[in-house]
Amino acid sequence: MKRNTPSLRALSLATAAAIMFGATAPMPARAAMVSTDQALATLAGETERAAVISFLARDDIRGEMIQLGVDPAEATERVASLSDAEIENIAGRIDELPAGEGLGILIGAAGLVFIILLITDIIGATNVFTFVR
Amino acid sequence: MRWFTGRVLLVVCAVILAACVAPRQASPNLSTFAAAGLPLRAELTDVPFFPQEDLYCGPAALASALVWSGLPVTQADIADQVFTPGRSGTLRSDVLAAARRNGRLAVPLTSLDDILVEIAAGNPVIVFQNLALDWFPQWHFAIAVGYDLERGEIILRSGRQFRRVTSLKTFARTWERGERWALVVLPPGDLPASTDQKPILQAAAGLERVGRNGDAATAYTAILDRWPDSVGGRVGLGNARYALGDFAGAAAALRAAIDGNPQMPMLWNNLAYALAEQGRLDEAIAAAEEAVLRSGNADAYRATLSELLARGV
Repeated sequence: MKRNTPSLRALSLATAAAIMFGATAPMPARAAMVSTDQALATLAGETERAAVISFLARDDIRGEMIQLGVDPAEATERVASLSDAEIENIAGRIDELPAGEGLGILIGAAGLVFIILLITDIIGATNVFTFVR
Repeated sequence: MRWFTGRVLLVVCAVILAACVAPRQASPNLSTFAAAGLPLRAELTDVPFFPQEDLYCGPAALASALVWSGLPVTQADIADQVFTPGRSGTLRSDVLAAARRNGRLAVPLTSLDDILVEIAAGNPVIVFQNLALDWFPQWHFAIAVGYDLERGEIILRSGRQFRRVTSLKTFARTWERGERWALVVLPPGDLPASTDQKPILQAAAGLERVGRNGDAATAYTAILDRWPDSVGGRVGLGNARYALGDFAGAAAALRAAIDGNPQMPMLWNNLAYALAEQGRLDEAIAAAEEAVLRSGNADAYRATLSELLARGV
């Protein structure tokens, strides 16, 4: 049980993070409420995630987003919307994780690649061209 | 001779390719779906369509789901929330975050079965595909709105196509190659049909995280309707009500959780705060003492107790 309870230091840092990011910052007096995220982790028997690591990772991700052209206030909101587990999944990978763009592949698919994709489309392995059923 | 070499090259390519793209997962077994009680076909014709603007498949798919769920948004509104210019595209985590920020219960799905179950239940599903190949990816968001098991087809709103019909087997491959990401986006009082309790609780907690506490409370209430014994649902309802300033309601939710689980210190800890905010300091201190006792003297709960004791001075 003890390993699942947050230390005071971790809590105060998490609060500082929430305030810095302008998220729905709890009042300092309320910082010792156990959040639903923490409660769900405890109920699932998961160990407490280090708030310090999450705090740093959030800051990094926000910086990467801004570098990639996302408005700073918008980046703050995006990062604040994610749980610690979700933050861990994307930390350090913003510039390599798949980004859905959809149309536009034909520009890049010249020559051989075009033929390859046509064949794989016909055998049903890929689904690039709308004219292939 | 050149003509011959060209042909040989093409055949060799095709053979190599067939090996490269062999599905990593067995093809969906369509008869199992029918055996599992799924209707043979379903199609949600009222899901709106946003023909995607350049690079905006993510915004188009999410806008479609949000409008279907009752929110009047446009593709451009959503693009501000999910598009990343430097990547010329939309990251999956941003779609999840934006659904929450719009007050919607966003629940990830992890199996093709679950996608079909949701459609059969009337819920469209945002899906992420790699339409091309691992080494030449074309990442793409679409929204699945129908299927036909007899014909082995899935129906998508995709790109600029209102009704793109794809073989279920091909879809299974492109979805598998897109790392099996799917998301159902619902009004907070509605729950997905297919998934288990944990991801739904996490989706509701996501609403709290973005300050949508009223929507979170609605979601927790729906969760408790389906799973009346859910401790997570009661803690969440308590926390959401607390954040809304409904301290008596928060205390009621936490007491209901404590009834079945008096051994959990976090429940007593949060109850202590809910009581203190109502000015019932003696009861609050008693609850905080329970938390300390039952946690074996954990620091965090001792801090709660000292803080409440200090308020009484």
